[in-house]
Amino acid sequence: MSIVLENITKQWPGTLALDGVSIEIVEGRVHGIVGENGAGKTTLVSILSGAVQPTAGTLSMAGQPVAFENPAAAVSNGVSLVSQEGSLVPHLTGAENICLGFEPVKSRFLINRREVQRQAEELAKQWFPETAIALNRKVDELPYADQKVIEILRALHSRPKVLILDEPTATLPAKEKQSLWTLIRQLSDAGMAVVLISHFLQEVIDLCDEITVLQDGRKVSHLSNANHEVTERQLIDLMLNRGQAGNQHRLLDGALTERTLADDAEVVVDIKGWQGERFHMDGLEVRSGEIVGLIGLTGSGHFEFAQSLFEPRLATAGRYRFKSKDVGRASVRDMKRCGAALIPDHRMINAMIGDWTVRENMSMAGIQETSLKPIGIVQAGRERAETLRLIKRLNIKTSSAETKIVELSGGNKQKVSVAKWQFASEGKYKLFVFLEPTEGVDVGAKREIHDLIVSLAERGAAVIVASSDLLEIAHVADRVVAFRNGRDADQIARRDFSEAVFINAIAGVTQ
Amino acid sequence: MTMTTTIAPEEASRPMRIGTLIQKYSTLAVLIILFLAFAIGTDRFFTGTNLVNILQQISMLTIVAVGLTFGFAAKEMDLSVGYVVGLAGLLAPLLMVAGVPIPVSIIGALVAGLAVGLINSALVVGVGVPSLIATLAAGSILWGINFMISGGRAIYGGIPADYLAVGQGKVAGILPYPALIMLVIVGGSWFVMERTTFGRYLYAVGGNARAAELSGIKVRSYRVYGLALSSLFAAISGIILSARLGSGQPNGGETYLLDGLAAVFIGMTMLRPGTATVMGTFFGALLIGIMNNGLNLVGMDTYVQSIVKGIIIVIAVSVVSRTTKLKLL
Repeated sequence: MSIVLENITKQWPGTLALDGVSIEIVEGRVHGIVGENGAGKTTLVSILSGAVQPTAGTLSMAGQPVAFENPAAAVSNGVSLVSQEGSLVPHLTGAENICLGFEPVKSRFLINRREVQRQAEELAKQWFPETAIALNRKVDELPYADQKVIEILRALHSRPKVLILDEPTATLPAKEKQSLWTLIRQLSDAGMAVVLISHFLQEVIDLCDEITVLQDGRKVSHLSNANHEVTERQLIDLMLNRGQAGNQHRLLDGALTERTLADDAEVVVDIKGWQGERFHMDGLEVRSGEIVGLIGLTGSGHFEFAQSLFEPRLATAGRYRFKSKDVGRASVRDMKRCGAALIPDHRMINAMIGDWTVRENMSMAGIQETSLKPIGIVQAGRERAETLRLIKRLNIKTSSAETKIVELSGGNKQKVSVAKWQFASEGKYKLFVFLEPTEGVDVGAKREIHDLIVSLAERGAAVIVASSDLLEIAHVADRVVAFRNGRDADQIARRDFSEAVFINAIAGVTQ
Repeated sequence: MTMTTTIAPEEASRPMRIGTLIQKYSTLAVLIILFLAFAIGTDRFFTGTNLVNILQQISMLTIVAVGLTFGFAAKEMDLSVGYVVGLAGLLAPLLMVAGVPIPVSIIGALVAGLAVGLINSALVVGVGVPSLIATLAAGSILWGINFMISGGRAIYGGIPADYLAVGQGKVAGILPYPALIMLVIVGGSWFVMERTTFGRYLYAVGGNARAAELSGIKVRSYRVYGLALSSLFAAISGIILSARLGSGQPNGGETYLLDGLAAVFIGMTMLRPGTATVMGTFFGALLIGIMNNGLNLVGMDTYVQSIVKGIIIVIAVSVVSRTTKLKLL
């Protein structure tokens, strides 16, 4: 049975997660959905599985309109989801998890444990004949790969017609990936419609009959892949390209002006063999006044590396000198004291206190500067004046300094997140690390944030920007480091900036 | 304590303005209505002596509740405070009966209270046990210790009169010392929480620990401070209690835990809804005090008071949970 999504739109307050997306999922075929973080994959999956309701648009199955008010409704209509993060009950056995919610009973209300075990084993034998899993053991005692198999079996227990797999192989070892791939083929051969969401593009190309590419909540392409003719390069192009023709030039335009750096500019960041669990940086020098952009596909380590410059404890080995001083495993506080600042991604989780006002959020990192020592009496007047000064200087749109931060738009929240490091601290910070600086920020405010980043460098700070928005990187960066598979792979000078060069560097294609 | 992550963090709860207004002042309205009702309904309520009496009656509760407020600000809940009241209320008399000078005895009791707070925070911050569970266990241990050191009997006889004055004396013959100590503590704590960087950082840690950490705030230290202060204040309350009773009681402070939590919860409905504040807590304790006192004057039995109090707690917590995301565990 096929399921058709027509003009699905999902509006969150402040962000348009999906914008008129139409997709047809056909029985007996594997449908891949790819896109960078924030492209709308998760929202799409949530709508398909009934966890989220679309703002506009329709779903229909076999020509009949349907609405999944909750995940249970989706399951009873034959749509099952294997979610990205574990959805198993850790202290139940594998068999109990597989039958969870659909337990066979005896004497009307007692769980028939033998039947639970039998059903689970039958299902396992049917779909994973070569894998031996101890279905009678608690799942938290099982290896991760087995847990994934159990999650899939649980989704299959309700005999779905549509199976959605959200990043199923993200954490699987190679051998288990193979058996999962075999399973996906078997399922579609058996007539099931399979939706595969994955960051591993080669996997998508090998498995899927058709591929939909999402970008910024819009469907940018739908490719037929019957003979696996789509290339990785083609997908990356579609995922990252800002779409319309002529964009190459727009990117190049931004790259025309080159900032000149004073020869004697101080080296602020000096890295050698710096590595952590998910990143490795051979060597990098960033001087005051310079903006270095970090690019890469999701999971390629550039965000983790950038974060480690403010949280050195995330690194396990290597050398990091900050203004010629060895950092070692310094704490965030030490880094702040030496003059490093972080403007993190997911700002409401990492940077802001939702209940607090603009003023309180803005003064969080610098309030001691406007307070009376030694006990730190807050001087309300000075705090307020400094807040108003920054609201004005950064052009923050807020009805007052006492407005709650949640009432601001994404762009203005982000400005507060930057202003935090200028609160009574103008010129104190010598390094600014930005992660996804314009995540959830509308177009107009993006420009202002970019100007803000450049102005920090112009006033003598070293700036590092990790972003999945290539156009943004092209606008602000003096040079770019591209990450692949957790390592820094390429350096690109500003005069060479172009979308093609960026994408080649990210995808690992040499020209 | 964990933070819940929502699908769209940008759309954090935004209570309606009018709703917020009603909520902010409804508790105050209840307080005033109760006050007026008792003032009109009984002739013994609205008298100078009785009002001073109310202040005296709520003083120990308020001090415990203000201590809890420090913990709450950092999102830590201390369920051992009632037994810390008992511990300090026993230790000071025990030391004095053994001939230790008054100031040393008092300091000894305070240090013991502080030590409990530090042990609690070692478990919570060092080991990672949720504060609700760590302090519940600590409370059980303290209950046993209190009976062990007192032999299960009240400690009295040989407690110097100067010590008893702490609980029974009055300033200028009008304001009882416990009420004075309470007012000083409320004022001082208000100042620290609302007007110093210490208070701001404590609230930051409770508001969003990750954001606080990435702003360079010593998150772990402030969690320790929150728990340590809550124990220390409970110990102060215990000293006043024993001075007031003229004896150390092995199960002296047990009621302060529930009433203290009630005061904090009631306080969380006003001023900054969802946040424990010193003034909110003080009003909460005042509400409980006026209610107990008034119901007493009307001639209501203590068990009815307990029922009424329980209902008020449920209402207060419901109000807070409905409009803000009250996250305690």
